[in-house]
Amino acid sequence: MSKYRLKYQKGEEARYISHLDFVRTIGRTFKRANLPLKYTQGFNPHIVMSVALPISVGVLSDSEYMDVELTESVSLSDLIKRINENIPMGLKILDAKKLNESDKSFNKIESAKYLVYVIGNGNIDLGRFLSLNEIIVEKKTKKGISDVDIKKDIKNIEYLGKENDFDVFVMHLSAGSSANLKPETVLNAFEKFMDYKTEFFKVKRTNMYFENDINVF
Amino acid sequence: MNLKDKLEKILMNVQKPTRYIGNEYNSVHKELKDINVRFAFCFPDVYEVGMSHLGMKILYHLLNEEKDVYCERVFAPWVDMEDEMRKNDIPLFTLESGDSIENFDFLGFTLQYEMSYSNIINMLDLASVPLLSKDRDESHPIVCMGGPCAYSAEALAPFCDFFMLGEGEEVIIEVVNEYKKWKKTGAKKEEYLKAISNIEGVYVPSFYDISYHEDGTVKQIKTKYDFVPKTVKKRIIKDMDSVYYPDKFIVPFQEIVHDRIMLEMFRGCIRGCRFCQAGMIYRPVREKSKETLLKQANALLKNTGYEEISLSSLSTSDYTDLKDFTSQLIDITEKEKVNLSLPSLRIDNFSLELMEKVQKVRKSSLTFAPEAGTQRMRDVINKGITEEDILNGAHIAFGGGYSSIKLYFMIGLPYETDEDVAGIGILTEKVLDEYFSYPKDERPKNLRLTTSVSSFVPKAFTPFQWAKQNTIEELRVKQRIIRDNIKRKAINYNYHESTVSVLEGIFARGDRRLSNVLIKAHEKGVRFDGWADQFDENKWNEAFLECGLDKDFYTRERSFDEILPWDMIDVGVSKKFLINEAEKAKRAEVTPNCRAKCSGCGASSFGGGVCFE
Repeated sequence: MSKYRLKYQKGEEARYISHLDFVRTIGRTFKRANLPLKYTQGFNPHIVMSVALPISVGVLSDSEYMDVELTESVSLSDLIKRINENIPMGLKILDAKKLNESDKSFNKIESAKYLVYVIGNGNIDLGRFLSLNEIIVEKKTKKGISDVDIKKDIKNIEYLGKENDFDVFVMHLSAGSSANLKPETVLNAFEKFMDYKTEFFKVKRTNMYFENDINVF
Repeated sequence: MNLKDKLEKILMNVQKPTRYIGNEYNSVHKELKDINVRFAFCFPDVYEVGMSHLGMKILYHLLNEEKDVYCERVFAPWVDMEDEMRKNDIPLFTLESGDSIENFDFLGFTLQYEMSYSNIINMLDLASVPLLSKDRDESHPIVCMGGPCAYSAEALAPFCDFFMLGEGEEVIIEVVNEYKKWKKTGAKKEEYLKAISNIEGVYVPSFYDISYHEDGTVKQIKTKYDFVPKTVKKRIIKDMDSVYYPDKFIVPFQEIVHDRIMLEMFRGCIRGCRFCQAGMIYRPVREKSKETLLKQANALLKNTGYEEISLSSLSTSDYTDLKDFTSQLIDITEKEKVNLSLPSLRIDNFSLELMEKVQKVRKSSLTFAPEAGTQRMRDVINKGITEEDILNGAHIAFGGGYSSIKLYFMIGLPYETDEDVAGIGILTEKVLDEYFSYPKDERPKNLRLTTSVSSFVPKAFTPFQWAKQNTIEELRVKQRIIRDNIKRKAINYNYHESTVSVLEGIFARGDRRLSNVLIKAHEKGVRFDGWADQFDENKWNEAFLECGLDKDFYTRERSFDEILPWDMIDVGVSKKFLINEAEKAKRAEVTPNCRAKCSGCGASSFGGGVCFE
C-alpha cells in the first residue's frame, strides 16, 4: 500500500470551482495520468482519496492538500510530473510526499492562515479589535441565523498595509471539523466593531495547520 | 477596467460562476498572432446544456485543427449573469480568450430547439451586433446558423447571413476557406455570400425573396440571382469511418447535463416514425464500424479521464453489429472501471441481458415509448411496435427484477380519436396487470409505474407537416380522458403543461414574418423560453398582437399544394414521399423500416448508407 500526500495550488484560472468540482476534476486528472489508482469496493467504485478542508468558491490557495492511495509505489518526481501533465489550468501539484503511519490525517487540522485583500472604508485598529472580550457576530448555520462569539477562533490578525487599492490582512483562524471561522465572517466583525466596511474582498489560503501550528505537509 | 477585473467583481454574485470561466482541460487556447479567422461557436442556452451537445464538441475541435482558425465557445449567460453584464457594461465574451465577439469573423449559432430562438436575438444584442443581417456591414461578424432546426428556421432568416444545412464537418471548413479568400480581396459581404451560395448545403436567405398571398400563405419563393440554386440540398457525411471525430472532449469543471463520453454509433434511423423529425432529416442511416467505435472509445477514455461512456444514436438496438460491439466495449469499460450507459434500447431479452451485464446490481428504471395507446394509432404514426411487444417487454422486465417502468406517450397526433386517447390509460393498466401476473414473492418490490404524456408538435419535413396542431383546450380534454381511464392508484400519471408547445409549433413551421415577433418579444424581455420558470406567455401574446400576426395561422392544417415557407430546402426525403406517408397515416397503414424494404423516400440520392447496404 502506498499513500501519498500532495500539496497543490488553486490559482486564478480555477478560482471559481467548488470543492465537488475539484474532487471530480482531480479524479479525472489521475485517470488521465494513468496512475495505479486504488478504488473503493462495491458497486460504484470511487478512487480512494481525501481532500483537506474543502475550499470555498472564489478562494485562491498556495497550499491545499490531499491524500491519494495507489496500488503500487511511484517515485515522487514521476508522480508530480504525470499529474501536472494532465491537470487543467489553474491547478498545480507543488510537492508530494509518501505518508507514514505517524502522519496525521486531515481531520486533525485545527487552523488555517489567509491573506485577505479588502477594498474597504474606515479605521483599522486591530489592537483594540483583538483586545475585545467577546466578538459576537451573526453566523448562518443550517438552522438559520444565530449569534456566535468568534473571539476564541481568531488566533491572530495582522495588517500588512496597502497594496494597490487593497488593504491586506493576514488572518490566522480556526479551521476544521470542530471549529471553523471564515475570513468573511471576520470582515463582518470588522464592520460591527471596528467601523471598517468592506466593499469588495478576495481571499487566498496560505497554509493550514494541525494542533500547535504544526505543518500539514 | 478590463474584463478580468470586472468579472472578479461580479462572479461571486452569480450562480455557478464556472459557466463563465473556461480553462477546462482540453479547451483550446491559441496565440492571436497566428490566427486568420476567429469563429465564435454560439450555443443559445446555458453552459451545462450547450456543453452536453455532441455537435459542438465535434465542430469545436474540427475547426481548431486548422492552424489559422480559432474557434471559441459562447453560451447564453443565465439571467442573473446577464443582468450583471448589462449593469457593468460587459459585452458577450468567449470562454477561451474572454474577448467580446463583436469583432469576430464568424458567429455560428447552433439551432437545436425552437425555444432557444429568443436567446439568439438576445445574444446578438448582448454582443452589440445589429440584429438584422441587412443592418450589418463588413465591420461586423458574419452570422451563420446550423443544426436540425436550420431546415425550417425562416423566422430567423432576416438575422442570419447564411445557414449550413445538414452535417457540418465538411461544409464548415469550405465556408471558412472561402472566407479567407474573400477577406484578401476586400470585397463587400454580399460578394462572399454569392461565392458560398453555390457550396452544397449553404442557404443564403437574403437571396430568396418571399411573397405572400393576402391570407398569409406563401405566394412565391423567388431567387434573387440566376446562379442561386432553386433548392438547397442538405449535406451528409457519406463515410462515417473516415469523418473527423475528436479524440478528446473538453472536460468541464462543473457537472453538465450529459457529463460523459458520447460515442456516436450511427446517424439516421431506419424506423420512419411519422411524427419524428429526426427520423426524416437525418436519413439515410450511416453506421460507424465497430473497429472505429472501439478505437474512439479508447482514445476518449485516455484523453478525458471520464468515468462513463454513453452510446449515442437514435435507436441503439438497430446497430447491425450490436452484440459483438457491446461485448468488446464492455471488456474495455470493465478494465478501465468506467460505467456504460445504453439509451434507446428496445426492451427484449437481449437488451435485458446486456443491461444485466453492464449494471451488475442496481436496477434503474426502464423506459418504454409506445407513443400511442391503440394499435390503430401506432399504425397511424408508423411506430412499428405491437401491444404484444410492449406487454412482453414489461413482463420480462418485471420478471428480471425491474420495479420501475416509465411509459412515454403523445397526445394531439393527427387522426387521433377519444378512443385512442383512452387507450393510453387502458394500456398502462395492462402493463400493471403484467406486474400482478407474477406471484407476490416473485415480483420486484417498490413498484413504480409512470405514464408520461407529452403534446405532439408537428414539424417540417415530416409526413405530419401539413397537420393541424391541437389547441391547449383540446389537449386538456385529452389529458382528462387519460386520467379517467387510469383506475388504479399504483399508476403515476403525469403530463406536461403545453402552452410552450404551441409556441414551439409556431416557430417549427414558421415563416419570415415571425422575425418581427421575435424582435418585439425580445424588446419585451423574453429569454430562455425553454425554461418553464422563465417562459412568459403574455409577452409573446402581446408581441403577436402588436405585429398583427395570428398564432392560429401557424398551427392550422395546410393543404398538400400550399407552398411551404421551407420549400427552398431539400433534406433528401422528397415531398412526394412525405405526402404518400401522410396518406398512409390517414389509412393507418404502416411502412416497413429501411432494412426490411426500401420505400423510396429519396435519401438514396446521397449515394451512401443503408440505401446501398
